[in-house]
Amino acid sequence: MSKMENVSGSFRDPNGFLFTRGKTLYRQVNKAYQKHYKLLMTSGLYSRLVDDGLLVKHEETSQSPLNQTLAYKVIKPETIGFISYPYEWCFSQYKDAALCTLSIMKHALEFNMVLKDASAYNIQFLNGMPLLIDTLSFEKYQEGYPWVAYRQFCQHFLAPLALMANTDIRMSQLMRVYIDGVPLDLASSLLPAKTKFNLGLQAHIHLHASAQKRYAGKDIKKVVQQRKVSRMAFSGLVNSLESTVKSLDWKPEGTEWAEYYSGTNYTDTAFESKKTLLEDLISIAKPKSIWDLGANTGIFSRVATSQGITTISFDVDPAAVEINYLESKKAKEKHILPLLLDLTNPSPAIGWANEERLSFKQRAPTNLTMALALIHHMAISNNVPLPSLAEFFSRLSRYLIIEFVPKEDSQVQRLLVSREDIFPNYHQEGFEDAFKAYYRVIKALPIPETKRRLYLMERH
Amino acid sequence: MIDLSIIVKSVYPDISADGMLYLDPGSGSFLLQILIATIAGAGIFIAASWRKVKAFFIRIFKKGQTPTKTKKT
Repeated sequence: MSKMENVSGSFRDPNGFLFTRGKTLYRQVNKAYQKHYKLLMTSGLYSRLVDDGLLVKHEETSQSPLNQTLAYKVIKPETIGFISYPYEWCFSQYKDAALCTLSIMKHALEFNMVLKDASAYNIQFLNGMPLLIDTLSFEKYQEGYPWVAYRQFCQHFLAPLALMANTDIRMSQLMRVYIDGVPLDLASSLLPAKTKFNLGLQAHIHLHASAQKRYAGKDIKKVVQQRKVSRMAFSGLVNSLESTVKSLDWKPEGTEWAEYYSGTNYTDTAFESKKTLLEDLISIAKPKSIWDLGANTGIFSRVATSQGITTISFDVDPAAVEINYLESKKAKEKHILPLLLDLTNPSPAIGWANEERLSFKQRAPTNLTMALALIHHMAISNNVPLPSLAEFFSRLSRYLIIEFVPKEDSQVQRLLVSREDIFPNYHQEGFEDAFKAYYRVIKALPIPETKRRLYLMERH
Repeated sequence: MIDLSIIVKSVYPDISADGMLYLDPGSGSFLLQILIATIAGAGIFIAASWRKVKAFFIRIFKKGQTPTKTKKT
């Protein structure tokens, strides 16, 4: 019998839950959700959303449920290669995820259904596009009832986006702290005064925060019973949220890394040679999936994706990730997923029992990790000992392509300008010794016109 | 302290009986939403009405003009 277990992040909704059997992911649909599920499938909404790439596909299976008493059906959703979280998205990814949610809501209304939740964690990127992964997020629309997920949408999408656009792009990291979205009173106090003149932000954030404060602990039963929300008013609310989201904008400029390549010491020959060497090394390992750490705008990730390899292109700079995503969107690239990640402090496991959202490391393994022009930032800027780096990388994948940048390189010299050189072991021999404890070197190649070397290694 | 479940049950009588509603919509959020939705809905209504009025006058105006194109048979 294969091992079965609940997926730890899937416990809030009494309508069903995710579980794994062997290596396959299933979703149990409970009897409590039967009528809504039937409506989703028979109304034409499911087909419309799947055709438009807005909802994950699934098939009904004959698998036995995990909880027989509650079960109505077991479905098998299409596999999402890598689960990403809102605090790992760049501005445009976040905005597209918000617009995807509202677009689904508008489609649902046409078919007499609504979204009963609007969690940013329900949106994932597949083939470069955002889509809803929770098939149980729909329920029958009942004329007169307000949108139950309005508060959640504002906290999960609108507040972080407004803060990223108007206060600081790094505000997306508040989502790492607040599992149910940014509290609106906090968003309201952090947003600049000018946002009070934006009608949408004034209404959905500032007034919303005041209303929450004013009516906390007050009996509003009578008011709610008397005032109903008509279908037109419901649509008006969704349209208003949509135009507010669309009005938010952020342009990547002036950050440290966005113009990194123009500031490097690579000659054109060295740059092209590095691409060719990388292509060869990838061909030797033949990975199905790659994590490119410190990918900048994804130039070298695209060496992998051009071979049809799914590549997650991580970088610490929101501007670089934004440029990377916009490029992938423009070219309709399906194999690349740019994401924000600070390797010196990677995404932790958060939520209930520290198990709801997985840490960066828990989402391993991949087949191959790329660490190009990265090691000096980790070892010198962040003082991480080389053996510790080798051990960390070895937990992520079987193969590693790593570029060693020696002290003589001008980029390393730049890092050492303002500090004492306390790194006596940071040299080629020290690097190779540290990594050989975890890996065997398959190939090591010097990059022409530089002092750098590219290694392909396989874990012992 | 307000019992939100009472409010929720009053608004969603049949759904909450199913145990369907698992999010707390928040009392302030609920009230504000009703207000914004009403205004936004009125906006849609006014815009739609304005389009109808405009279309009506355009029709009247066109009727007063000699047709420039004749239907080909």
